[in-house]
Order: sequence, then structure tokens, then C-alpha cells
Amino acid sequence: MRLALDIAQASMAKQGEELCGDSLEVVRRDGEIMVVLSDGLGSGVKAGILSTMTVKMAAKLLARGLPLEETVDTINRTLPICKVRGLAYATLNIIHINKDNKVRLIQDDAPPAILINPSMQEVLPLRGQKKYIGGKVIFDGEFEIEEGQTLLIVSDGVPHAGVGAVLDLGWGMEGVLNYVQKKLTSIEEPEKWVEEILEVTKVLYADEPGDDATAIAIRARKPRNLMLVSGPPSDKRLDSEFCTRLKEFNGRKVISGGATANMVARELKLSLQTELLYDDPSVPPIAKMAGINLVTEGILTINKTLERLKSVLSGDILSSKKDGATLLAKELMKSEEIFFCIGTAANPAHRALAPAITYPQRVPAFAEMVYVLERLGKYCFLGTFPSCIKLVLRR
Amino acid sequence: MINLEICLGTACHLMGSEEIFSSIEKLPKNLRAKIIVKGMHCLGACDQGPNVRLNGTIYHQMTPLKLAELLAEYGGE
Repeated sequence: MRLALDIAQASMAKQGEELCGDSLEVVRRDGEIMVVLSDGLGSGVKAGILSTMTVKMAAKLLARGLPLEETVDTINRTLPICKVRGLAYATLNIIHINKDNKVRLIQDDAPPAILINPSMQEVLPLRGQKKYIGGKVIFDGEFEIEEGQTLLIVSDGVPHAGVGAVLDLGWGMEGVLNYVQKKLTSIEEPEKWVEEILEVTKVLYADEPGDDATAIAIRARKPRNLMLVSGPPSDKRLDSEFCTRLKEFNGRKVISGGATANMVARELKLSLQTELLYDDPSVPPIAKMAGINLVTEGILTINKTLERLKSVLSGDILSSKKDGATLLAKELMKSEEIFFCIGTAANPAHRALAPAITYPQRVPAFAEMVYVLERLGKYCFLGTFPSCIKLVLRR
Repeated sequence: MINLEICLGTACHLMGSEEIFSSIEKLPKNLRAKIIVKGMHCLGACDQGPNVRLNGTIYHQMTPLKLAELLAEYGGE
């Protein structure tokens, strides 16, 4: 079975620097995923430029289908070496995961990766075989990632934490491994792993990071499906069927739209509680409803979600913000089969107030979202109610 | 106690409900202590937003100033 992958990243800049010198790019191509991390020599703007150049170059070459060895070779031959220190200006980590869950890990001057395997209660440091590519020593390893396992990559700012401050020599990779082992049973989500690791790193630096630090976690899991409903049906008599179909859907459920949420709450006799958190003031708050994984506002959130998904397509990782658009983008990214079920009722008040938020304008927004999601490797089905249900039943 | 429900639906959001919500923080402490704030997804008057409901009565076209006056009235100040 082809596993789905969740990727999370957290970074921290050296104390006093605006920019982090570590850069990351994620390339998705023909169902394969390539994650490139580079740590620029030093810190600040110079390190940022060097690592950005490295990851951008690697990402472009990989996206065009250049084999990994040739990509690493090209980068090693192209990027300059610091004359004073005799070191490359940036390190390189490439994680390539293919459709058969095979992971190829290529590391140039970077800390070993960590494989977290909760089912066996194991935490393994991964170091590939030594090779020479482009005149440099590279570690090249291959393994098959299994369901529930997490691959953790850190830049050297993480194991160096504590040097000369809390600890004489920093906590080192051994310290990182021990910490991961301790947290093995309590953490599951990749977002939580990177957040926790960076938190400990910060504490060990006594809140004044002495280096840029980045953690990336990639978790393999079973593929999921999701149903997103937006807009009540045009015929009020279909409200009950619409809500029952949503309730009976076997997968994650998202409601996008206040009128739709009110209708589901009424028909299924559930309570709807709106949160009052504005993590991004341009996105209206989310709400909670039992049995529904996410309830957001409608068209404004949809358009903001589209922006977030486009940034993922261009290689960014979703932020840890808790606004409706980021949460919806995360729900969509964590699902492999997505059913969009659009109700065609128009809100008369919206029509008078702002024609841009009525039904005919919602469909193109979802159509564009489907286009972006498909390019991100998702299988999407878009339809209006009731014909959308046939798509769900056909699967 | 004053039960204040703020509509956070699309139309009310576009008309400034976030501003209404953040204005609560700026109210005098003693008045703030009397208010229970709750968010609503729609109060059914989208063309007259931002809408709020105060102890069951809906008020339309709300502004932070108008709300502060109403709350002071409800709070007996």
C-alpha cells in the first residue's frame, strides 16, 4: 500500500538575526516527494542566501527529473568553498520518498537522520554509506518507511544547543536521540515533534540561540479521505438528506460556511460553538461541532486556503497558525481522496451585499482548489448536491 | 451578567466584526467582568451587519463606540 506522508518543519534563527540561515524546499513530482534542507555557513543574511541558493538549485534540478547523484554532483561542483575554512558554504540533505515508500537519504555534512518507530519502541540514528560525489564525502542510505514511522531531520543548530551555556559540549545527537526516545509514546503528530524539539533546543540555548536550528519531521500513515460540504442545498427539503450523507461519510468531515454549519447543527441536533480566536485577522474564526473535524466560515476562508495551498505547491510548509484557512489547508493536505460537495442555495443577503461571495463565484474557487490539490498529488471529486453523492458512493 | 453574542459570519466579518470583538478588550475592567462573550456563525441579518445579540436582542450595524454605549447601558453604568 502506498503510504501518505505528513511533513512538518520548525526553524529558529540565531539570537540577534532576523533571518534563519537554514532553508527548506519540498518538491512533489509524479507522486514522489523530495525534501531538501540546507544549512548555510554562519548565520543571518549571508547564510540565508547560501542555503536558499542550494535548496532552490537542488529543487529545480530534482523537479526536472535529474537523478539524485547528478543533482548532488552539480551542486557540489557549482557552489563555492570558503577559502579560509576550506568548507562548503552550505550543507545539503535530500530525502527522496518514492511511490513504493522507499526512502533515499543523501546527506552532505549534516547530522544523521533519526527514524522513530513507535510500534517497536525504537529510535534509530540513520547514516548511509560513505560515497564520493563531486569530490566530497556524502552519506547515501536507503530504507523502506512503514506506517506509523516518523523520519526526523535536524540541522546542526539542534545538537549544538547548550554549548558553553547550559552544557559544556551541547546535548549532541546522543542527547537528541535520548529525548526522542523519552517522548516516543507521547508524541505522534509531526508538527508536535518539530515544535517540541525546537522548544528544548531553545531552552538549552538559554533562550539565546547560538546557531540557526531547524527540525523536519515526515510521518508515514494510511491514506485518508475527506468530505467537505459548503452551502446548503437549493431545495430546503433536501437539507435532511444532505446532513445524513455527511454524517454517514466514512472519513474526515469539514463544513465550510456559517449557513451550512447552522443547517447541519439543526438537522443533526448538534451544538455549534464558535471560537473567538483570530490567529489571522483576515480569516473569520472556526467553530466546533461534535463528529465534524473542522467547521470554518465559507468563501473568505476558502480563498485564503487556496492561497495557503498555492504556497505549499511552490515548496513552502504550512505554518503552525490556528486560523481556519491554515487548519483547512492542513486537513486537505492530510487527506488523499477529497470529495467536495457543494450546495447551491444562495444567501439572499449575500447576493445584495457582495455578489462575489454567492454560489456562482464559489464553484470556480473550489475548481481552482481542486486543480492545486491534484498537482499536490490528491484525488479530488467536485460536484454539487445531490449529484456529488453519486461520486462518493461510486468510490 | 450581560450575554453578548457577536456574529462572525462572512458578511459581518467583512463589515468589521473582528473590530467589534477586539473592542471588548478596551472596555473598563469592571464592565468587562460583567460580559460573557460568545461567537455566532450567523444571526440571519447579513445585509445589516455587523450584528450582535445582547441578552437576546439583536442590534445591527454595530460599531465599537455604539457597542460600548449599549454595554454601559446594559451594565447599569
